[in-house]
Amino acid sequence: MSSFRLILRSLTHYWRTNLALVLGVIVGTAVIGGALIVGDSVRDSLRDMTLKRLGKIDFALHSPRFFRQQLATDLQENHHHMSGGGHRFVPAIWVNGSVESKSGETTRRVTNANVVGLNEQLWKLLDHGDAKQPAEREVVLGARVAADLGVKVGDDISLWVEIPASVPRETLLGERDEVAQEVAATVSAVLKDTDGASRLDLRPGQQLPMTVYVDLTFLQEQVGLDEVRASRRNPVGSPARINAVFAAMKPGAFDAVESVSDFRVTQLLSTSNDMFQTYMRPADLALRVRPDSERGYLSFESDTMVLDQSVVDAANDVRKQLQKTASVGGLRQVVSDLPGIVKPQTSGSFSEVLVYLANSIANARDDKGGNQKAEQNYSSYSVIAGMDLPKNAPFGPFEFKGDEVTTLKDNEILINEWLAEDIQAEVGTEVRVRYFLVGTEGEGDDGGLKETDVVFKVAGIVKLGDSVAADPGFTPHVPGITDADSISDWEQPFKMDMDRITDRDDKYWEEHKTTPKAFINLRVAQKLFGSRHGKLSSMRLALAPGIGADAAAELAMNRMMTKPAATDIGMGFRPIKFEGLQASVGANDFSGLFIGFSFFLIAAAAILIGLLFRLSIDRRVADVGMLATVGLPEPRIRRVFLAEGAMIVLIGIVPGIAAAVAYAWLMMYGLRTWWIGATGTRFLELSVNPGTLVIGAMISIAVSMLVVWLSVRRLRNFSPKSLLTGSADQRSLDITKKSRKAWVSLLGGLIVGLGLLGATLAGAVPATEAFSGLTWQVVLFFVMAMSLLVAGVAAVAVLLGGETGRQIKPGAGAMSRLSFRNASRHRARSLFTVGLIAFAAFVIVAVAAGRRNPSVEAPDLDSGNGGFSLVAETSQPVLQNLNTADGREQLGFGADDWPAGVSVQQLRVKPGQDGSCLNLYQTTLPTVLGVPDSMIQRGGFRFADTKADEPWKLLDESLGEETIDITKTVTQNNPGGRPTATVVTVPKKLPVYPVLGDMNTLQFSLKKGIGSYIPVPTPENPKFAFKVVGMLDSSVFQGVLLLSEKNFKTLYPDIPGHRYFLVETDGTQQQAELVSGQLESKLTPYGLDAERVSDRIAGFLAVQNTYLSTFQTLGGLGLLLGTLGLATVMLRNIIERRSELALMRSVGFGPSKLTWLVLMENALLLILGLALGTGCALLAMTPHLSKTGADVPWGSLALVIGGVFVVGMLAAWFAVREAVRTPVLATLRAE
Amino acid sequence: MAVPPGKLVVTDLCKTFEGVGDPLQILTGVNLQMERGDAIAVTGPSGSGKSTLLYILGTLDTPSSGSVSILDRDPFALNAKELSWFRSESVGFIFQDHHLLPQLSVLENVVLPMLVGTGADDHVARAKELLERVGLSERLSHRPAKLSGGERQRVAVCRALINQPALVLADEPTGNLDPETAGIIGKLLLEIASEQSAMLVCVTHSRELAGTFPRELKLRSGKLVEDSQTATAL
Repeated sequence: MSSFRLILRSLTHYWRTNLALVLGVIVGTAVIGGALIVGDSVRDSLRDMTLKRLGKIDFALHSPRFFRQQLATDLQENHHHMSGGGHRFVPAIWVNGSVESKSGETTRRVTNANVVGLNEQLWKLLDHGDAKQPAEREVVLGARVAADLGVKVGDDISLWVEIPASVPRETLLGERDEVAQEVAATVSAVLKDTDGASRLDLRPGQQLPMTVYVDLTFLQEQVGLDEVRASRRNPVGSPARINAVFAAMKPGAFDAVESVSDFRVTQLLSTSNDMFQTYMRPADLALRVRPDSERGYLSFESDTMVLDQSVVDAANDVRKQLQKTASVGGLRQVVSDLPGIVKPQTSGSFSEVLVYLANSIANARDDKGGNQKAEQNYSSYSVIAGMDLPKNAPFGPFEFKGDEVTTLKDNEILINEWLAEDIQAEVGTEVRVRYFLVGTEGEGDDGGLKETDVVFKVAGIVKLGDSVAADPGFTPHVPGITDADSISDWEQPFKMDMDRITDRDDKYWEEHKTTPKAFINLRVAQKLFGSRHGKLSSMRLALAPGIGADAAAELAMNRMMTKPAATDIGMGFRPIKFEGLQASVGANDFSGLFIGFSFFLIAAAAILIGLLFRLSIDRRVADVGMLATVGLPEPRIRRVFLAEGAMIVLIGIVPGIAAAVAYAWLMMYGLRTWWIGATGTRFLELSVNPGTLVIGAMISIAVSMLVVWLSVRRLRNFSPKSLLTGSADQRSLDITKKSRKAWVSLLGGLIVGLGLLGATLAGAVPATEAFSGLTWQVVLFFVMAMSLLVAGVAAVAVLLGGETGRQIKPGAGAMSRLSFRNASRHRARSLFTVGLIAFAAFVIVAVAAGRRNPSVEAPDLDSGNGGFSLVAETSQPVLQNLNTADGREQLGFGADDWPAGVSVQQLRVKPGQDGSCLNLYQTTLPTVLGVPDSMIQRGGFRFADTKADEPWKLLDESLGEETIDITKTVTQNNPGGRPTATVVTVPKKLPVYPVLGDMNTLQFSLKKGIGSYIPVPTPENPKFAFKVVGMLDSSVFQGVLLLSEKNFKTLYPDIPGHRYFLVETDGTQQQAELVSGQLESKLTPYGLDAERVSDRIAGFLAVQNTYLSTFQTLGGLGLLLGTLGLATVMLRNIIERRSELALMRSVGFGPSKLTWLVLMENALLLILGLALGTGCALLAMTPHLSKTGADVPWGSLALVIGGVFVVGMLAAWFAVREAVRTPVLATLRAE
Repeated sequence: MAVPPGKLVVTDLCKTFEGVGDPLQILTGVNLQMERGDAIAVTGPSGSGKSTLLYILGTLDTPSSGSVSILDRDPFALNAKELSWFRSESVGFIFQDHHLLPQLSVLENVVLPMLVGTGADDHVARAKELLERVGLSERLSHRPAKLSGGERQRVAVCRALINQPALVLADEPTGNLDPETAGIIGKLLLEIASEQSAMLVCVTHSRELAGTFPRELKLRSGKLVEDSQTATAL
């Protein structure tokens, strides 16, 4: 006889109990392992979606600037030195757009679509199924676009895409009215939603994006990016341009690579960027170096009219290189790689200029303090130049009529002799300069740019003639303006007062074109006319004597191309495949999420295992005593039982693993169907990883064995004698006598609960936030409910304790009384049952009652909707002000189209990742919105954990520079092996800007809180950082970060206009619908799509509500399983009382009466637990339930609670059968 | 056969149970001495402390005062592990309820105490001998559920004696049996204990069973008193 044999025999002998135990282990393993598999499956599905989404694409370069298509060709033709070649670089245009389809009177529109102009090369890289590449005037639609538009192959659609602006839209000469081009095309194919090309996106996301494919050349022609050869009609040719290059590295280059930090990725990425830099030309940066051989200088200018700071920095670097060499050589250098083509760095060797168009320059003598109508002498539309007065050739000196002027004070101006004559001015005369303020579109009296003026005193009068001041080259070339024959021929984007243009003005234009009429101090000019787009319009370098201007310009241009670094100006490749793979770890760990959701199932399974094992031990307690009397030490007996438990667990594990896969399959099915609101995709597939199964099994074994150990451990408390004689049972009954604790708990719970209730009813509870967005009222109601729950359970304890002292009298209530008495027999056990059911019911009901339906919530300033009725987004930036009649007029609104009192907050948008809970991928930098000052002043919305009276004003705080920790990848070379990359954290000093974000976005997507930093643009190479200064609570701003518009303009100067709108109406449905319709119809070219704010929030909350439903479903299942545990408790009671029951039968209690007796006891415990839990939960949620947005799923809750009761009673009935079936005589004799 | 050394000596044994009210004195000074091969029957009314005495002798309970020496050792000075070992080596129990493990066969139940030791084959052989001795050689592989009450108790006797303990303690061994079977079991118990030179202490209500023992003691007022001319009370 060995222990092993004893264990084996016990296993088979008690097979019924052990089978139940095995089933418990199977359930536990299934739920734990299943939750882990769900995590794996979501991760793997996201990973697969990333790979399918991108096809063969590894890297992507997507630039805000358009550059020559030839660059992609150069990369393709010259890449052979990159790891042996075999890579592909293909050109594309990737822009934001909207798509419209019309069917009869119905117009459908999708906005924010990815419009991809591609050629055959890119099409080959994509997973497009059997769809053919779009030809001219054709589009291939992604599945979601086609579905939303309701179109099919052969239907006609309109595509609205932004016309690339050569001059920034928010500068004086930027195009503001015609921002989008309609492209009519026919649908040639509709991609299936299973085709990767249907979900092509540059940012990871599991939801199908809006994707539209167009022929590259056709798209270029439609938006003016096609190649224009130089001709008589078009003297200046232009190359075909693109804004994206996709790269597919040779097959096998990235085998088994998953991380952006992998050496192979960083190396090929770096090489690709270096090559891009190598083949980049000035035209790719809209940069030109204009030689003026006659005057002997080179002028660095930009097609955008202003030089952005990166170009200025680069130009200065090049200038210094050229000047340094020249100064070292002293003479022209012909052998150096940097020939001395420019003059050494001396005063006047270079000149920085900012020109601007003044609307008028008038003699201030007659204007009576600024009255334009009173002006007698003025000159219209004159160029004014800001510069430091040059002293030496070729930029100086100026020739003066009268005294020479060498420096200009801030309030001084030089005017040329033509202007002096026009406005009758002389030295000392005050002149008023009127000009448009940059970036004020929509703020002017006429809805256009806002005009302002400044007064200068004439310091000198400059001669024209052949002087250096008579140079039209001060002004960079702007097509449609500088090449116009007359002022009236200008194709200017702003309103001109043509009546004020005089013949003299026209004559000046005819003779001198863009030659400045006035000069002011550069610093003053930059203050008045500079913008975030740049503060110089040209930088001029004096050529060394004898140097050919054209050759020098070419050399300077080549030199310019080494700077700035393409990656610094948003023209670098990104490893989008590996970014996607890295992000596919998910914003949230679904393993943890589902373990949380399945908590009650796991707990129920564990409790069931424990109860069953205890039951098993209870039934064999005399056997245990026997083993002890024959000399088996107590630890060894426990080991025998533990080993028996282990065997049961191991037996349960194998089918448990199979059940885990089945459970995971069911959960994945649920995520694709019932709970799709939380995932937004039906492309989640089951993925079973053997390693995960092992981990799941190990956890289940650990949990089960812990429960078994806890059950076996109690054997220590009993002596062999007590086990043999049955006094162990008696000992456990002693606890029924201790009721002092119950009284204390009852009174304590009642005092706290009723006290808080009284305080609430008396209005003594403040309505302010306690923490995490929860008000004191919500918190106190929860505490109150928990206190009453404790009091309730304690009351049950007291009642059960008091029960033993009462006499049961024959009569109608005798059976009920007897049941209650039976429940009090094991008070601790009964209390445990009631307490567990009450707690589980409390959590499940409270969670389910937390559902919200914001679509029924009215606009409220201090709520998540901030008092706004509508939220709208456009595909193209809107530069007009919707709050002014003129602004609306420019957008096509009639005077009666806009109800009075409706106001709009217009926000800027820097597109980023979707940081809302709708995106399953990990987010690092979500979309950033620029919040206008008007909204900061307006305030509103509900905040969480934000310690400020006016949280919006935190956005205006200047945070300066701070040292923050950033991640850095350190590559280590391994002799004989591949280099390895290690990610480390290093401190870095960065400019910091305050942002606000929604609590859900910050905590769950970004894993940030107040005070956290978000490095931008990437955690590894940040140029600055956002600091979270406040959190909004359940707002419409989920998924985005909010930055002040002032900081937005500083950080993202290239992004014009507004694309995000919040509309405040009178709150009525009617007005909201009217405004929504007007906006959508009038802003069609902008691709505006409006929806109710409450619907947007409801969309976000759908995720939360779905998770709540998931928890309710799985928690309900757990509670059901827990009721089986209740049946086990019943069975234990019955086994212990079998002699009593047998005796009752012997004295005449029939089987039905006994069944009724036990069922009553069971029902009593169930009803007490469920009623306590449900009642207290509803009390806890009273503040929420009293709101209009509460959306409690009463039906499903009732189903869960009712189901628990029914299953509990059924399970008890099975237990009763045991008692009723036991032969009376045998039982009595055995006792 | 030579009688092995060792005896049982109980001196001034007292047992008091602490309760809600006054302490309950069950044993108030029990004295007893037995040599190997001795067999005594202990009788007395219900609640007189017979079983308590037996459990103390079997080291399943502890005395409040006094001493017990079994085979010249004080078992209550041993730690839990040593005590378990001592019990398995030196003490055999027989209860009114046989306490056979239902999942084990007859033979397995008899060799159950071997779990404590080596479980060597000679024990199996000895178990078979014992079972043959009690007339159950045909029922070795049967489960307890297939046996009659008398057969089960015979298995329990074999189990108690498998280790050849020096001290065999029987608590109402025939309480659940009919008189005829009870007589057979009593006789068997005495015979085998004698053959093994074990000291046999049998607690019983049965006058018939007590009468078969060479010496009968009564537990009266917490003390053992002589009730037979064949033995000497101390």
